Amino acid sequence: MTALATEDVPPTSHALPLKNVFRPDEIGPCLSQEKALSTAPEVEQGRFKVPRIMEEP
Amino acid sequence: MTEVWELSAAELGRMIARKETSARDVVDVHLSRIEALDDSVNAFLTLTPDLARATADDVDQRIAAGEQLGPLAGVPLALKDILCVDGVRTTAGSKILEGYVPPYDSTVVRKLRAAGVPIVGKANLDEFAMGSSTENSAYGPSRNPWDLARVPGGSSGGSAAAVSAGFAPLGIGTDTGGSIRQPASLCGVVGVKPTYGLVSRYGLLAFASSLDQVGPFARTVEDAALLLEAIAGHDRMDATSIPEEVPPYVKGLESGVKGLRIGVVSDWVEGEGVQPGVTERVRAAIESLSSLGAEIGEISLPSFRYALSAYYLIAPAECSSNLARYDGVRWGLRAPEAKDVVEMNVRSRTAGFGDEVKRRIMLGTYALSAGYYDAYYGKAQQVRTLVIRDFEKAYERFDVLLGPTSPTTAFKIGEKADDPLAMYLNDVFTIPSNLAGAAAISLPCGLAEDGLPVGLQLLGPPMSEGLLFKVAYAYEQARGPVDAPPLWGRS
Repeated sequence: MTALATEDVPPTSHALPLKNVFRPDEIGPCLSQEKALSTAPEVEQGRFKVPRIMEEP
Repeated sequence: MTEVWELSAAELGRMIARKETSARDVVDVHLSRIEALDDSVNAFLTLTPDLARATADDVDQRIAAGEQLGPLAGVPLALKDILCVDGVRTTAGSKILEGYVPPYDSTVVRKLRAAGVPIVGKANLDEFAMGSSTENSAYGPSRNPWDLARVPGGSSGGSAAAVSAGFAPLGIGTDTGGSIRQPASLCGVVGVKPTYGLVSRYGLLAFASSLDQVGPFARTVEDAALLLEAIAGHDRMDATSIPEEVPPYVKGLESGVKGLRIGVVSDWVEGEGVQPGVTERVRAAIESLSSLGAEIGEISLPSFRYALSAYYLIAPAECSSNLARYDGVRWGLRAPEAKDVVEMNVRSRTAGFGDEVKRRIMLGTYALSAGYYDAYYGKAQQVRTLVIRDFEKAYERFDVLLGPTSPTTAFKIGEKADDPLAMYLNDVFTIPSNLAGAAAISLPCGLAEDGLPVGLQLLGPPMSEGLLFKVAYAYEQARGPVDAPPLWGRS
């Protein structure tokens, strides 16, 4: 590819010419907390539980 | 006598609607065939008999009540195990998703349910759709119904093998660089890579988001067109979904190819590494289209020789970003007893991802890193523009382009497994359509000198599915019925 002259060629990040895809700001159906957590390896008090993220003080 | 599992989806749909058979019986026939033969094919990772029977029973009840259902109501389908079905385990062929049960339906599955299509199982694939043989599946490869020692192609190899084997007349795959068309070619079935944005990606586990597209497998062009009609269409849950009505594909199928200009991609038909039997079958298909009244010309597409290199920068770059979500926190595998969250991330990914996925994450991370971005990812995006320009120039002269789908017929399991570059070359003719977001179809065009199926590829601009189906249908009618794989027991 380095052999190709591309100085004036614009990059294509996406094949579709769609821009600024908006929709009305309305609340639709969404997952319940219970369903959203149902796939997690570890859960505590309605939250995803992970190992320690900070050093001991 | 013709068995029920040999019939086309269109025929089964008609018989079910006329109550000549029931959706339940059709599903049961296919489930028995899977039970008898899938130990040797390994097309499925998960069977969903309860889901399939519930859908079929619902279809039968509604027909009994006098309801008019769609043309595919009651017709079984094999779903690539990378699309979410609410309550059914979804692995993407990866250990990192072992035990994952999605709490929602993908849009494609929602549409299939609405069409009354029973899903008989989740089909095998290369891990996260990365591969051309299903050998990268963490659950073992699928086998080609034409020769069980050979691969069915990939990444959607399980779906292609299932349709070829007579486990279901319909299948769903995804095509990021050829993952529908190449297995369709190797298994002797029809596979369609729709225009990017035609089918919703909501609920599809992402590999390379600017390239991934969902599409149909079938044994006839009409069945593939019916299935695409059922799954295509705008979806507000996918911001890249095309906000247009889906035209009817089946309606225009029979209008013929007279006067259509077909451009033969000459470097592909006679190219280096193309098996002689593939060249010969594709040449015969060109003759056939010519005698049907199509105008045949030749074309060379200079930028396409860089498409493979550009793809293997763009796809890994996007995959490295997409797969960062598998962090052991919200779903999937979590390595136990890590002392902190970073160690948990690292150990979960080390244990959960296979070699090819790790290779692509590393390549992609490197291609996106500071100081290399312009030379690799930026350059690849410029090549993508050149590929699109070459296509645009070609479509000034021709309505559709034509070539082989894959340079070779099905190869042996293990033959290319240790040589990633040889494996990547499988997709050299399919990748340009993905880079351009364009439509393409692969359909069987006979057997090569080794007795294995060859795929004919037809390529068109974005939103040209109707045109491609029309050309494919005209060729299919002229070609006549294809041979059945040995697994059908026809001798």
